[in-house]
Amino acid sequence: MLELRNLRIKSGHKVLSDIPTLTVAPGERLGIVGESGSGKTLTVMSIISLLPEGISATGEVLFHGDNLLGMTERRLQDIRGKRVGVVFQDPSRALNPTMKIGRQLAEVLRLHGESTSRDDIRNKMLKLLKQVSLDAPAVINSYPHELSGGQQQRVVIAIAMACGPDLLIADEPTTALDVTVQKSILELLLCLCSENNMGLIFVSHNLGVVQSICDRIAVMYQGALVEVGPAKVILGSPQEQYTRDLIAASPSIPQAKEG
Amino acid sequence: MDNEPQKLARAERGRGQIPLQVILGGIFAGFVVGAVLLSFVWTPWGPEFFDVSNRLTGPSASHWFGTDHLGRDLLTMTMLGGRASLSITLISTAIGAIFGVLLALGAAGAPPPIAASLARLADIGIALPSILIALALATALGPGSGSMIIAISVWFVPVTARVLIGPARQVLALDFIEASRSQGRGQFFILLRHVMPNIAPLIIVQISIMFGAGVLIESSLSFLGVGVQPPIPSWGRTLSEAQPLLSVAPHYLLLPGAVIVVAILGFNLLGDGLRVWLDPQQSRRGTD
Repeated sequence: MLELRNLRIKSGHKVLSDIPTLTVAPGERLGIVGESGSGKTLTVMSIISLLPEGISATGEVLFHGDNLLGMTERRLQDIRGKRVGVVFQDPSRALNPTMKIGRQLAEVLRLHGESTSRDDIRNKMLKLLKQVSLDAPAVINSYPHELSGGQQQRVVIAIAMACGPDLLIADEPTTALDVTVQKSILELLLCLCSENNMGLIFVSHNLGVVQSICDRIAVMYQGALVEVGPAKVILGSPQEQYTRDLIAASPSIPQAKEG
Repeated sequence: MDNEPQKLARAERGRGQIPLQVILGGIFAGFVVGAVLLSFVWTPWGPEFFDVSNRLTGPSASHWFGTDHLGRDLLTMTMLGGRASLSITLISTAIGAIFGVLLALGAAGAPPPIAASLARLADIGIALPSILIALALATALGPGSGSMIIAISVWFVPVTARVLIGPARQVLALDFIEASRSQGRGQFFILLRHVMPNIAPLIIVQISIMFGAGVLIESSLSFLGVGVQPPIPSWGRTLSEAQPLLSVAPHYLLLPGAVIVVAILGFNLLGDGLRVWLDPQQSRRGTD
């Protein structure tokens, strides 16, 4: 479904990230791990061409056969939010503080023509919020700051899911949350992916978290792809030294062996 | 029943006590605006009234603030004079706010080359000396309220834009803007729907400050003779008529001068107080 080929992200002449090839099959859950600054976020954001100013990407991002990198902004806007959803790291900052949740959710539905009539939109919103286990009627009329971090992240997920995307990009979605909330968000993501046969790219620096929900793992270090493979293989018999170090540094993975 | 916790949350978000500046500014500005509005239904004397035998008399029971050089009641003239001053200020402020906000949004969020030139345009506008430009424009276009509105707006637009460009850029750099992009939103929509509401408190403050500045510029221009022309009364012109008679009738200056001071003080206090009261940092403190 998604295939990255020779993806190279540059700032001027400096190469920030270099991915020879990386694929995500429909319904597959890919974890991208690596330390801060290893280019994980840039890599996933380049998929939907949302790179910071001055940073450009070359190569190919094939999504259902179409190259997203050469696409016009207008066509990209049809893909963003509709076929690819994004969940951000800090939910308290990913929602507009001056708008009620209901309006923010309704906007996405309206934008992508998912619904037109008022009742239809309301029903869809209720359904979406229920899907992410929120008390829908109350949440619709709330401002973001009236919700807890976990609730906010559920709203962000609901917005990302609003149009039934084929691929969900989750950029460290649990990093800013309490540990207890983290687990429920992970379970929610897992459940939504399998229910909707949705692909997931899960970016994290936490191997333990990635292991718990991903089929495959890609390890990145200093902008380069170190190792890719099924989660069990990567964690059970890592080939690269950096992967071993990463596993050794994760207290939550007891089965990791030195060497 | 769902409303109860929400009400609490909203009360918690409340911006706290209203600052003294807002109250004082509101009273001052409200007093002046109220007096001018009152002139539409009531003035102590008729607008056409004059009594040549009672010229330049000091305050008395029948003329609380005395009479002018034609024997007109000064309180009446000041109340009527406010109509021109305030309506010119109101229109100029509206133009300044609307185009200033648009210019700021463009300078913050348009494609880079356009944004840069819009920002420079605002810089150039703000670098021009306001009274001088207004004077030149009013002279070139001929005196009158129309040219004054243009003159004042021409200065208000870049000033407002300059104040808002920075905050607009800051908002544009926030995560929820990128989130909105990731949902497939275009830049135009993002600027109007996400950036503008988040700089709304600053826009309100700026409007209040423009109001004060507008009264001052309008009065100055009228004082210099390029503003509202006779027979329409205005504060600035009353002052300029009173000036040569200062030694004979010092009371003549008192009321129009005081009204201008109170109006400007009121709007500026209001603006300063609102700046603190509506500060987005403070109102977002309740996040969590």
